[in-house]
Order: sequence, then structure tokens, then C-alpha cells
Amino acid sequence: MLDIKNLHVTVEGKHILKGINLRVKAGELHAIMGRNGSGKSTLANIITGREDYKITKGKILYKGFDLSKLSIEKRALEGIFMSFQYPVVIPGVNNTYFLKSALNAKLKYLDQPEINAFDFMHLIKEKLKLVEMDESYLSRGVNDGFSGGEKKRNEILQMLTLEPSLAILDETDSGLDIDALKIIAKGVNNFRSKDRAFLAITHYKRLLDYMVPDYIHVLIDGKIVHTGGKELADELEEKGYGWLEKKI
Amino acid sequence: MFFQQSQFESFLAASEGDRPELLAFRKKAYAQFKELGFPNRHWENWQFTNFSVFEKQKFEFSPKPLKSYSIQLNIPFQENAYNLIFVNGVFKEKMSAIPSKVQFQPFGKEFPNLNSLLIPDTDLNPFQALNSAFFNTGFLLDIPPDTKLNQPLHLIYLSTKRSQTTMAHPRFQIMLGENSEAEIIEHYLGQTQAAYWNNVSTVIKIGENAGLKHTRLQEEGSAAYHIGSTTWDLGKLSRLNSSQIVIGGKLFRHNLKISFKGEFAQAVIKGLSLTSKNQHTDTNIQVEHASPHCSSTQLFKNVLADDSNGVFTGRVLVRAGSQKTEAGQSSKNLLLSDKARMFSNPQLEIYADDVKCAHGSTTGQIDADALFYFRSRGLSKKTAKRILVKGFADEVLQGQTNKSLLLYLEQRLDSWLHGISRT
Repeated sequence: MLDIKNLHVTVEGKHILKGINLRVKAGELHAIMGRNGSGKSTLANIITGREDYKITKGKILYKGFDLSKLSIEKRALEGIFMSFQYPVVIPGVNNTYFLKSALNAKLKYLDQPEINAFDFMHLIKEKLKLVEMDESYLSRGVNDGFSGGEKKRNEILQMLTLEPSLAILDETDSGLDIDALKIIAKGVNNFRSKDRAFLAITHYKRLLDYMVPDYIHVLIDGKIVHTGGKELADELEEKGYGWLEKKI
Repeated sequence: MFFQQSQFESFLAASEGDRPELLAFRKKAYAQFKELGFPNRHWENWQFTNFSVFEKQKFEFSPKPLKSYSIQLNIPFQENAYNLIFVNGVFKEKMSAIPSKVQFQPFGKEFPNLNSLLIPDTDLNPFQALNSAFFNTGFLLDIPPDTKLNQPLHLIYLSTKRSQTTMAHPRFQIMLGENSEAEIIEHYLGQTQAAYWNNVSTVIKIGENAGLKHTRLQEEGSAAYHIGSTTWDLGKLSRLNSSQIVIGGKLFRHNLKISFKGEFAQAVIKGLSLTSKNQHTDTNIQVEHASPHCSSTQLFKNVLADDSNGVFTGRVLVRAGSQKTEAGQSSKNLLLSDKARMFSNPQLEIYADDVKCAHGSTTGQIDADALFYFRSRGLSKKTAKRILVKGFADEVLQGQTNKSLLLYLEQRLDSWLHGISRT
């Protein structure tokens, strides 16, 4: 699904990612852990296509295709989704309108008929239940007046609606209380399938207790320095990152 | 010497049969205009707009109305309204419908209730003075006390094709009696690419405990000049809700003045200006709080594409003794091109100590994070931009309770957005 080879990325002239190698197969959930500033979010954003981030070396292959030539929206239409660490607040634009426009853009891309308002409402109400969101969310502006937890649930709602092949969850657990975390983990777990891959970026083991990864990678100073199974989370919880820094 | 001098003389000669007090009023107004001249960049309240066209270009003026051509009107919200239709300054009685409860008198041969019309202009506004000197079309509309109109009044002032570059000076005077409720749509519509100049004056008086919903929609032709002056006097406990929608015209200037004449009155004024190509729009609003316990809220937005320019000047004046005034003013502007320019200048002047006043102004481009967010959900750059701009503009249209008018405005906004994204 995703094959990253010796990826180097600069942001505003600063060298952030310094040779990332990562393979994620369909059906897998990989967690990326690391301290603040290690490059976790840069990795998420560069896969999504953020334009002010520059690849200076290496490449990202998605389903065998080099992503560097694809626009942000083309990547999304091809099935890449990022749950934002800081979802953007856009007051004047209605949530329902936004979601329906995004879904129809995808259907059009897939040469399928657009969804009508009635069917969309039916669909969205089903999805809302999965993330335990109130129907009143639909009449509000995009993330407008949402609490931290509501914003993150809204991201997951978008994921469930757009049904991506590769979902990148950028610190989806930050700012969540335990109940909201469980709801989100449940939403993601139900969505896992042999055709989909996940990249979960997090600081904390807590998320991985509810959303069990196949692999955990530790990112330090723009490089993956260690990879392990789900038990690595416990080791990191116990020992911190210091012992890995010494290994470099 | 202004072109208008000889035009005024021949106009007076043709108006000889008019009552002497009207002639005297016109002469005085013209003298005032002559003394003021057209605004130039040294005039503080007018400095961001170039008015030199009115000196360089002769606009023909005919004391008699233009010949009217066959017209096509296809406006959905027309159907559920009392339409008051003017075509090139001529009132079209057969196309219009006047509610039985109101007194309606179009200007032309006669000028009824002269005394209420001949209000001396206290503002140093040369365009208003010119309107006073030349006005020969428009109406006087008197909505008696305790009247609730079941449908909106829809004034359509239509300008159609013409062989000469002309000017017109319509005047609309509206009086809303005590405890009355009405909705008025003031709609300037151009169905020609030709240049013309409409210099409009609208005077609205809202009686005690009366409520007025008002929308002023400017959709002049693309080469048109539109100068407007609107004044509202708000009586005690009265309510005004007014939207200014500006889409058409090449050069637009609108002076708005709201005066609170009694306590506990409320005014909500919103504005949306959509400009592209080399359009220039200039809105100048003055809100005068001269009575206690009144509130005014303003929200003005400009969306500017291509080389267009926008000007917003808003002044809120709270006079001494106008305690418990609540006044808010917000000017928000969105630039869609590097060449578009916006001048925004909100001002507060407060002479009372127990008031709540706030103002703010922002001008910026489309938020890059919002654009990234939308594109990451599969929306094209073009669509994402269009949705974001629509969301920005929609804030002004929200709260429009006339559903068919809202639908029309949304459609106009959509077609404007499609028009600019094509270029």
C-alpha cells in the first residue's frame, strides 16, 4: 500500500525528515511514536501532499505509484486520508454541505453517480451513530464551536464517509478524554479491513491500548531508529526514548 | 464650469409650470452643488474614489423620460411581492401593483406633499445636492400607522439600452407609520452594457414602534455609474434590518446615514460587495446615536477579485447623553487576487460614558490551512476556493427571512463565483 524509500523532506528550508524507510501493507496498522519535533507530523503531511513541504531525496510510493506528481486532492481521491492534528475551523461553511461535496467529488472521480440529498442524510446519520455524534453537528459550520474531542470525532466521521484505503491519524488522541478516545478507537477498529492500511501517529501508549498496532516505529530526529511489535509500546512507556537515542 | 450648469438651466426652463417653492429648492440645491463641486482626493470622506469621470464625461439629461424599450424581467421573488417598476425613469403603472393600504405617488408631472420632500441637505454631499436639483422621477410612499403589509414592496429601477450616455436622479421617499411593519426591496437592475449614471437618493423615516426590513440590491450594468445616498431616521422603539448587496456597476458609491431619533430603537445593517475586473465600490456609513438605549450592529464584507477596489468607511457617533448605546461595527474583506485592493476605515466617536461599542476590520486572502484541509478531502482547488468564498459571503446573507429573495441572492452569488473562477 505504502512504500517510503529514503525520504528526505525540508520545511521552510529546515531538514526535518532524514531518510525514512517504511513499508505498510494492506490490512496493517502501523504506529509512529516519538518526541515532539521528531518529524511525525511532517511525515503525515508530506504523504497528504502539503505544498510547502519539499521532498529533497527519496520517494513515496502509494499502490505502486510515485505520489510526488499528484496534487493534494488527487491523493485524496485515490484513497489517502489524513485525520488532522488541528482540524481547521471554517465558520461560514456548513458541515453537511462540505461532507456531501467531498463525497460527491470522490464518487465523480470513481465514475459513479452523485449521491442525492436524501440518500446522503440517511448515510450520514448512520455514520454519526458510529462516532456517537449528535445530528445537530450537521447544521453547524465546519468545526465551528467544536470542542477538541468533537473536532477529532468529526475527522473520524469524515474518514468513515469517504472510505479511504490509507488513513493517517495524526495525533488523533491528543486532547481527548478516555471516553472520546474509546469512541474514536472503536470507529477506527470497525473500519479496519484487509484492504485498508493505517498509520497512527501518537505520543502515548494510551491510544495503542485501544487501537492495537501491528508494528510500532520510533522516530528520532527525522529517522526511524527502531521498529517493534505492539509490546514496544510498553517498553517505551517504561524506559522512555533515551535508550534509543543512545543507540544512534 | 460643469456640464450640469447648462443642463440645469434648460431643465428649469422646461419645469416652469412647477410650483415656485420647488423651483426655489432646486436652485438652492444647485447653488450648493456648484459651491461644493465634485469630490476630489483632498476630501477626507471621499478620498479613495476617483470621481473625475463626472467632470470629464457629459451625461445627457432629458427632462422627459427616455423612450422605453420592451423589457424582460425574470426575477423569481417578483411573484410574491408588490412590484413598483420603473423603466429608464418611467413608472410602469400597468406592470406594478400597489397595496391598497398605502399612499403611493410617483413623481413626474406632479410633486405631492411638497413640504415633506423639500428637506434641505445638511451633509456636504454634492451628489445629494445634484439629486435635489434634478430629481424628476421616483416616488413618495406613505405607509399609514398600524399597517402590516402581507407581501414585500419590490422597487425595480430598470435601466435598459440607450443611444446616449445619460444620467438620472431618482428620489424615493418612504414613510413608515407608527406600529407598522413592512419589507422593502430596492433593486437597481441594468440590462445594458452601455454607460449611464444613476444618482439615487432614498429617504426613509421609520415611525415609533415600526419595523422595516430593507434590502438594497445593486445590479447595474457593467459600464454603469451608481451613486446612492440613503438616510434612515429611526423613531422610538423602531427596528430596522437592512442589507446592502452590491454586484453590478463599474463605479459605485453609497452614502448611508442612520439617525436614532428616539429611545430603544435597533438597527442591523449588513453589506456584501462582490467585485471583479476593474470595478470600484465605495461604502460610507454614518451611524448617529442621538438617543439613549439604542443599538446598532454593522457587518460589511467585500470580496474582491481581479483588479477591483473596495472602500469601506464607517463612522459610529455616540452623542453626549446617549447612554446605554450598544454599537458594533465589523468590516471583513477577502482579496482573491494580488491586484485587488481594499481600503477599510472603521471609526468610533463617543461622547457618552455608559456605552458598549466595538469595532474591527480584517482584510486577508483565502486561508491556506483551510484550502489544504478541503483539498485533502478530495475537493479541487477551484471548488475548495469557491466553497470557502461562498462561506465567507454567506454570513451576510444568513438571517435573510425572505426565502425567495435569499434563493435569488444565493444564485447570484453562485453565478458570480463561477464567473470569477472561469478567468
